Amino acid sequence: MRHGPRAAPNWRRCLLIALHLVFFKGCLMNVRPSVYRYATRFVAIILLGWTAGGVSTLDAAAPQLNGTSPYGAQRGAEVEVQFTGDRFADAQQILFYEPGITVASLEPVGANAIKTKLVIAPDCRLGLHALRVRTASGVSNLRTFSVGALPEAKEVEPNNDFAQPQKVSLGTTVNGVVENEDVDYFAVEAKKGEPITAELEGLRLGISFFDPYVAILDTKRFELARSDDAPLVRQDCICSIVAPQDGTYIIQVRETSFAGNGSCLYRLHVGRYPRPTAVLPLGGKPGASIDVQWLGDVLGPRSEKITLPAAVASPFGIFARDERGVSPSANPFRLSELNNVLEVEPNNAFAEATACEAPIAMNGVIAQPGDVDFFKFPAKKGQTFDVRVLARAYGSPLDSVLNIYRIGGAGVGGNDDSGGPDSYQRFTVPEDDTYVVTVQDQLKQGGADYAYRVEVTPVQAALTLGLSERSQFVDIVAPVARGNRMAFLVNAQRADFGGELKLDFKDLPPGVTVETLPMLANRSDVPVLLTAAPDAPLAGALVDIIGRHADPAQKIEGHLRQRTSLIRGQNNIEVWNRYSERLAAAVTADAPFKIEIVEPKVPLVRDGAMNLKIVATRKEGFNAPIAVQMLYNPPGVGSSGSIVIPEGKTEAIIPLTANSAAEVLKWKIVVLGDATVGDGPITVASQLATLEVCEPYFAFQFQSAAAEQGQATEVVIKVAKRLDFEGAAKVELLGLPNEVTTEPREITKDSTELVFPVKTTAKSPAGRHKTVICRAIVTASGEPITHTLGTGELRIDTPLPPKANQPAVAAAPAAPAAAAPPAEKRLSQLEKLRLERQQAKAAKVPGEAK
Amino acid sequence: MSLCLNQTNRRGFLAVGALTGMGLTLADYFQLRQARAEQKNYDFIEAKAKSVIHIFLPGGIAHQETFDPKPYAPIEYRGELGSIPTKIPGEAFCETLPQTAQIADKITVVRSMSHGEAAHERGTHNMFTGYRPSPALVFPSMGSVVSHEYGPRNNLPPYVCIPNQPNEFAGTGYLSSSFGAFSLGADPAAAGFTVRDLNLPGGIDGGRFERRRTALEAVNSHFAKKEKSDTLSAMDTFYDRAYSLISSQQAREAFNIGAEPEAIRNEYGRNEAGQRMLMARRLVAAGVRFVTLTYGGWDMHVNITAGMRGSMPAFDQAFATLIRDLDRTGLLNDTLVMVSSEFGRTPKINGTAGRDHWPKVFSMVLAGGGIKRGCIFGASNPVASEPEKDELGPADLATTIYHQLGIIADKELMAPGNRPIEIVDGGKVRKELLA
Repeated sequence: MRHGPRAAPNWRRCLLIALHLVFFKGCLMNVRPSVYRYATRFVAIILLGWTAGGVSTLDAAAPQLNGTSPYGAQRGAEVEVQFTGDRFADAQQILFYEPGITVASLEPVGANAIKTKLVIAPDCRLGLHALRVRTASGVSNLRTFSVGALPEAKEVEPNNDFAQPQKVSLGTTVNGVVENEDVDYFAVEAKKGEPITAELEGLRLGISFFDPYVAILDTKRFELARSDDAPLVRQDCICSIVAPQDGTYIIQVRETSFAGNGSCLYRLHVGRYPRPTAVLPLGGKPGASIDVQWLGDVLGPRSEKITLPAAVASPFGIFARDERGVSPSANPFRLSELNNVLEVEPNNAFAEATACEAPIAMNGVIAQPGDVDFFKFPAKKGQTFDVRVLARAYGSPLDSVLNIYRIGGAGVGGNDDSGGPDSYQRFTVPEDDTYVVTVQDQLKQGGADYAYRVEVTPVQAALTLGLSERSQFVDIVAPVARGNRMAFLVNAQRADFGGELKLDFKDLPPGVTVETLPMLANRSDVPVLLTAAPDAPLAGALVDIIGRHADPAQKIEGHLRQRTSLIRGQNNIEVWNRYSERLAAAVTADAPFKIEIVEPKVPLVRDGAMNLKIVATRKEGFNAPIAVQMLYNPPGVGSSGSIVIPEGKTEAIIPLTANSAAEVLKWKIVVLGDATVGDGPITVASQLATLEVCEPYFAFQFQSAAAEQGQATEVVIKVAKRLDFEGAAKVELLGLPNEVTTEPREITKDSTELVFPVKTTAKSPAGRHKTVICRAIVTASGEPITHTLGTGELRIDTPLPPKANQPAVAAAPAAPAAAAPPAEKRLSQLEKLRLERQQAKAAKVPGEAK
Repeated sequence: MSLCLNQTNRRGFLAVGALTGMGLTLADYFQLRQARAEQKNYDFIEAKAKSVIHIFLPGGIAHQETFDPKPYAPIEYRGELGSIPTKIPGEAFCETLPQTAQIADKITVVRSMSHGEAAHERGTHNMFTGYRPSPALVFPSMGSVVSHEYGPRNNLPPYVCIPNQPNEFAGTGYLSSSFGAFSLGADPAAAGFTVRDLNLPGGIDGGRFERRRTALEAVNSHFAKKEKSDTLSAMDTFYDRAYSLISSQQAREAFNIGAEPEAIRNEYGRNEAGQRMLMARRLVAAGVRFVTLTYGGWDMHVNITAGMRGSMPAFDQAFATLIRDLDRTGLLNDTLVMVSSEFGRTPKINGTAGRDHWPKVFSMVLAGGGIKRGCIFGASNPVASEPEKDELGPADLATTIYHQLGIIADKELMAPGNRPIEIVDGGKVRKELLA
């Protein structure tokens, strides 16, 4: 243990300090602080060194969308929006995932910008709209554009002085930026009793790791409301007041720790609009009209009858609106076919539990600190239920704790967190009885907007599809060059069912065909190949990918849910993302190359190797190197991932190996080719080719071999044929130590034994050499089938020094061996040892044997 | 025990008069005397190695892609890189080491290094100190122990780090800060590289320097009376050594890499690896006892093939040149060169085409200073996941290196709280490594 804090001087610092002191008197007091500073900086550098690395680089990301200016607009308006990024010179389309925004004009400005005029429909859904840019050569990454209801204004600097704020009218969306140590002040006028609400979109714009802070102050600088984070909007802010008197109120915007920068952009919605922070119930049936209660608004709760849509994309939310306006962002709302039950207070004890029948959605609010809500329902022995709390994921401050009891109080199950603060528990009913579900806050907190929904459902099969990323955090898009191919992997999450799946694709771009296979029951992904006709028009599309159970009777269906990671914090922990339910695909301009797998005529055996030949067809003048890589490796198969068809060449070999557990099957493989064309990467795919993985043609069993240095021995291998083959297989013995030699041998389908005569020398290293293996090559259809079988052991001994009193029998063993039966049965090592022992015994004088 | 010392109680103030000036209380005094009496001590033995060049490759370099290729394993184990024969008959290195393969007959490759620490800091601690990390004590690095045991030679710092102390475990641990490393503070590969502060500023001659120094000592002695701490006494030691270094032209010249002929500088490679190793060679030739240098970042979780192809050539050229150069000049006989990393990497290539941390088995290199030539020590199994024979742990490694330096590692040094601590606890000298 060290004695307190101790600066750690070293030679270098000492030299520095010595000179410093000698020549600059009076600086003595600076010595130790400077030493401390140095040490701190050094440690920081070391730590940086260790945390750096491990982050993959982007690939195949042409075009790249970095942002829009502005980041949002008012609905009903026609606005000029500039898209910025890379490789935009051939931009053709903005792909929106939802209706409501149309592009009136689009004009690339050089390679890094696109000037557009967007028309935002008056009934456009408020909030974030996902989009991508499509160019003639590709599809960009995903970004969002925010649509608001209020007139827009820009932040005008200087507005950093509380005494001289920027004046805005109550009912404005301000587009601004928080620079380092920047504080933005906005002044609004309000009448007494009028609500003032400020909701800020910062992190949610998906630009940077931005933690904003908003406060509402009066002119005497008293803070009337403030918000750093709000569960409904995550790291963003919501704060509201009711104006205590007529006058001016100041909205302050800054970064929580004053650490803004040029990418800390925000949209501040200041107005009188309703801003409830919870809704009760938290869900309803699609297409139904239901009464909801808005909670958490500064003017108090309010009821409203709303009609839910019949079918929408998730995540779904509903907007609070009244004569004052409409909330800038939605309250998340669950659409499901379950019946709702609302808690009936008091329901704080077993005896007071709100009664219902499962399956059911229980809805309520943990209204006071310490509140525990009880619900009860009857259940039959053997039924299994999933009990899932929806709270934090739906914007509630509640950190739920779920418990399930029998009505008598015996516990059946419970959960605090399940992949987030919300709780989930599956339970099988042990006896016919009434069961009680309780919900409370983990820290015994409570409040008017601590809403929750507990769904009690029988176990239901669920299927979700995804797209496997090639590079981490780069989501898959599918640009298919005309007359060429593109491939990707679709993966499936099967919940509570198993079995083979079939994929279906809807809304592909015109001229694009799809080729895929059933996803086997034991696989969670499958390759998909898109092919564009040579005359397909350049166009983009959002493709619906549907997965279904191969057995139609099962009626299990699922869709794509593709996650785009937008903002990550330290250690790449994701803090903001976006899910989309369609694959962005496009037909793009011709690529200057195609690739093809030369389909192997022979199988790849377990414990074997194969050279997979890839051939490129280049357009004249295109000579760039083409990197070729398997889209996926069948289980147990390995492939080189950094093979390149060199500049100007048209062929490359991808080495493949299969391990001993490789799955025996005729697999469909596909190879992707990446090359730089112009200023960006282009990816094309080969055809789907068959790669058969099969058992080795024979099994080898190595027998132990040993020799003294300088002696010869035999490595004997028992051969068990598994598959017939024509002709002879060439077998080499590899992995032998230095100064040990042998010759290749051949076996046929009838061989049962393989013997390698092995020569050693006096310099052969003594010891147990356990890396002896055989490479056996069967040739079929003119192609090699390579087996790598082993391992065996060769022991090399140093010769024993001759014993001084050794009797002459030491030389005898050779004679009985020569007299062995004429059948020439080959002796194993063990048999040899036994024989030697017998001979030694026999050689002894009978009288001595006792 | 150190807690007891830090508490000032009534009894603690009863100090032995004569000892008060040394800052020892009566309790401290007896404790110290007791501890000294029980401390294990050994004389130096004959040193086969006069100096050590420790080349540390931070991040955990893959053994498969360097000294322990597995050409017959499936691709997911062996990786994408091939293997090449070496000057050790029958033994192969990865294709990343063509030049090192040509000097393999001068070095010992250990393929069975093993410990259990898969975190960078902990693995680094093992390799620099010979100890597993302890929450109770920070152990001194080998360089600092050598500095403690032998002190300076030819007015040069005994322990030098190029370009800087690479990590906290390369420090003095529980020993006084005065045994810390002298760091160059700049990369010898940089254009216009000089070790700062070695020369007197312009217009200052020796006489004036001496007058100033006397003035400083007057101030310092005032401080020394007021305060006693390791930092202050370490400063004194440092000043003394710093003055000797500044005043010795010969010592200063050791740091002047520009004095090397262009051909030699080019042979080593005009890059970080090359110039750092050349600087290390200059320093040990001049008398530095222990030089630690680092090169590259080897934490290749992603795309290991490209990473190795990018980083290895400079190392390969520099290391092969260093060994050839030391051998040519005869320095290899008494200079022990060690190439190590905190651990190796996973047997299987991961989902991002890299390898992750793997301390169970990995490779390192020893050369010179009485180590065997042209030896492969130990072996890993066919997929390089476990040691197959002659496992070597950090304690044995450190003990063997100390042994070559003439230090018996069972000797105890005094840690704070008057705790005698073995230089290495329980390590064995692995005679099989020695020539």
